[in-house]
Amino acid sequence: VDREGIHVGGSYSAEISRENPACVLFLLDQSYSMTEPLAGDSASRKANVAADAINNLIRTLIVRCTKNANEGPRDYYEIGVIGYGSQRGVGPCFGGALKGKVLVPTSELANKPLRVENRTRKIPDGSGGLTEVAVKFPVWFEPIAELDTPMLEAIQHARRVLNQWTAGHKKSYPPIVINITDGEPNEDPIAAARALTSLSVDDGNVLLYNLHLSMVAREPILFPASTAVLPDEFAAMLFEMSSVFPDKARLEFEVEGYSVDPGSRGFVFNTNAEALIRFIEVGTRTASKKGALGESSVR
Amino acid sequence: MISHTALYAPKEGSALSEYEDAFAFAAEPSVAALADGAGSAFESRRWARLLTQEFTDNPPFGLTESEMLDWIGRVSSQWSALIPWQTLDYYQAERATEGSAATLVGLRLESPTAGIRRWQCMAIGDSCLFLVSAAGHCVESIPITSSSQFNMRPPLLYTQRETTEQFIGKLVDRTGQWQPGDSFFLLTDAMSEWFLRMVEQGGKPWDTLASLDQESFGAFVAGERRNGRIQNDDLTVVMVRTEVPADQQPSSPGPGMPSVRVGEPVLLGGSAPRADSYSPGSSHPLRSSRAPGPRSAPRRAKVPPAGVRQRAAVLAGALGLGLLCGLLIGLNIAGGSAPPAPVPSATHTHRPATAISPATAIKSAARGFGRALVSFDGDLSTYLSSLYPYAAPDLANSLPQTFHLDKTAFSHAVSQGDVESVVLQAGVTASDAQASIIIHQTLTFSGSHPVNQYVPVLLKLTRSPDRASDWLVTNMQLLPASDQLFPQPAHPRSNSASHHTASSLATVPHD
Repeated sequence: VDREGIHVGGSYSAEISRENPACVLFLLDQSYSMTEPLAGDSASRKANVAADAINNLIRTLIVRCTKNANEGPRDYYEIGVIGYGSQRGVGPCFGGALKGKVLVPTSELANKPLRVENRTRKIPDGSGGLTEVAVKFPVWFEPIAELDTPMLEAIQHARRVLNQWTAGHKKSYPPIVINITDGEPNEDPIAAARALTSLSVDDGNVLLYNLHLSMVAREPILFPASTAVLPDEFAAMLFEMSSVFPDKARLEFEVEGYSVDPGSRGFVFNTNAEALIRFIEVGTRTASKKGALGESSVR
Repeated sequence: MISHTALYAPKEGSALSEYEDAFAFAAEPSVAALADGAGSAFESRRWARLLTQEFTDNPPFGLTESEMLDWIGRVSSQWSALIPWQTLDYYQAERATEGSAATLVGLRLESPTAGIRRWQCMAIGDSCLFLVSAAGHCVESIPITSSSQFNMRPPLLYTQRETTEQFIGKLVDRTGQWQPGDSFFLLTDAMSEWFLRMVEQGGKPWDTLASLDQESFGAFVAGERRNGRIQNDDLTVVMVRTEVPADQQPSSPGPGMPSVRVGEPVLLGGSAPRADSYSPGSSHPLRSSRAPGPRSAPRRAKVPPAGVRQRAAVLAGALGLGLLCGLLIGLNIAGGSAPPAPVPSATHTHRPATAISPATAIKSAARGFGRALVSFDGDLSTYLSSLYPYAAPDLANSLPQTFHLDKTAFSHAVSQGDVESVVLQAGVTASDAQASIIIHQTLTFSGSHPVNQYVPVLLKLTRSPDRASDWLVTNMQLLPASDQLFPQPAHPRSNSASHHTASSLATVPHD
């Protein structure tokens, strides 16, 4: 199927295994406007919320790859974060021992966080309420918010990375690219986005999802299937760039209670922090029989 | 007379170390249990194994729902006790708090009472029991009755009580009568789906399964997977076959499949739930792996000559690390002072025992041996020195050949692990027996992730001349199944003429 130039061919049913790992690549806006607070959360800079969401997702994927007490996480995923808009230019964000690396397998990520922070997390207290517990919160990169929005360059960078990756991983689940941005790009990235999503493995094309962070408190527009519901050209541009959900991915969101249509795209406009975290968690969940990975049989 | 047989295969592309089904048998009365650990859960293989072990030890029939939850809770406590919570990495700890999950199907056959032979079955999830009558009809299918019913998310037993409570209502509890000649098949989901589809197409899958042994099962599975007839999943078949008594119908020797009983849970820096098992509190795992008894106090060993120690240390560098140690085991395993039961001539059927059944004694000996094999994580020379007087020279000398040891690769490995299963084979006589064990070792090299090894070993045991209720391990060899466990080495050894190619043991990583 080719809708308006965005390829969504393939079955998207490849089982994720160590032999055929999946690739999750984040593109992260590091423009100066990311210092602004996120809508509905005046205390949090968008850059921090986005960094937390990605770091949280990396940890979640590592945990999902963990099966036994006597072994580390299995390398079911290769994960990368490409930043754009900082003084360093477009490039990988990982710090510490992983500095300069683009795609890193889960076991290596587990062992080489930039640092492990002590944070608190709310969990059910068993009697209907929530209680705060101390948790280890590993981070792999720093939040940065500095210059402009070279999104085109970031997408071209991602294409170079995934051109190589897809060539070597034809039996893998198609790479998922999640672009997190808060502002208008310097140049039109649509053609580059189509070149990116025209890359493919046997199981389907590269998926590109877009998450737009807003400092305006409005209801997020989740998974639109047309531009009719979108407020402006910038939103329409991100829509054009976004892949239509493959059926299996759409089902994952439906299971989570989202309203998703067959033409829905992996795109959220005016994302708040909660929607951001949930999107990237569910969007990277790949169902496989009896949950070789996913949460399908154990909550 | 009831025979127990098991066939198993890991998911294609996975090592046996990633096989997450578990099964267990007991005799007198015959109890069999099978569980399928959820792939997405933490330590689900361990959970599955504990469930089947507890099922055969304490079959939970006739319990109220609340009592059943308590029964599961006790197994959950064992599971939790085996998790080394203090040393988990953050990602493991987070995973571990989410707990584990597994299916369970269990069967008990009661001895005839007033001519009535009763079976009881309990099942939850998509692991199934099938009863095939002597006349060759599948007359029971529990809890799933159609091959189209395997798509849904099955109810499972969870380590967390509150989660299990949501699903415990789905537990199926059934009973019926059996006749000599009836066969019971306990199968995990992919195998069950295959079985039911064959039945639906008018086939007799039980004949196919009954004709297989562990070696031919592998070829059969590969073929069915290639043809798309069996889903790629862990596969397990447990067959419980009843026979018409020999005095009514002379029976031919069985196919020689071993009866299998899952061994002790893997020791994971935690506790040892069973009285006869290794006690982690002891500073000497070998010593404590023997049951108490007149000879349980270890002999104080002479320190062997340096040359011997050196040779032993080389051996110790590989899997053979614990093998010498194991030679000791078998002493006084059965414990107690009852005279040995009369041992029947070669047969793989279970017979009533008057005192300690030889089967129990042999299982204990084999378990103890296996435990000793993997009980090293301290100063090896200490163990070796205490071992030396016991070592059977022939066995010790055969170890390097048997295992094709790479004499350097493992010299800095730290090992821990346990026996996966103890397999009683046909051929128990008054003085000799065979048992098979799968040794699970985790080798930790400095600066890298641990490597799991699964090594199936055939043990030959002889009744102790000193003490008739004890069985001594006199010989061991790799089982043919090891060929599939150990990939061929990149540079085959010129002397690897042996059929048993336990080549590079390090090539069974977690991957």
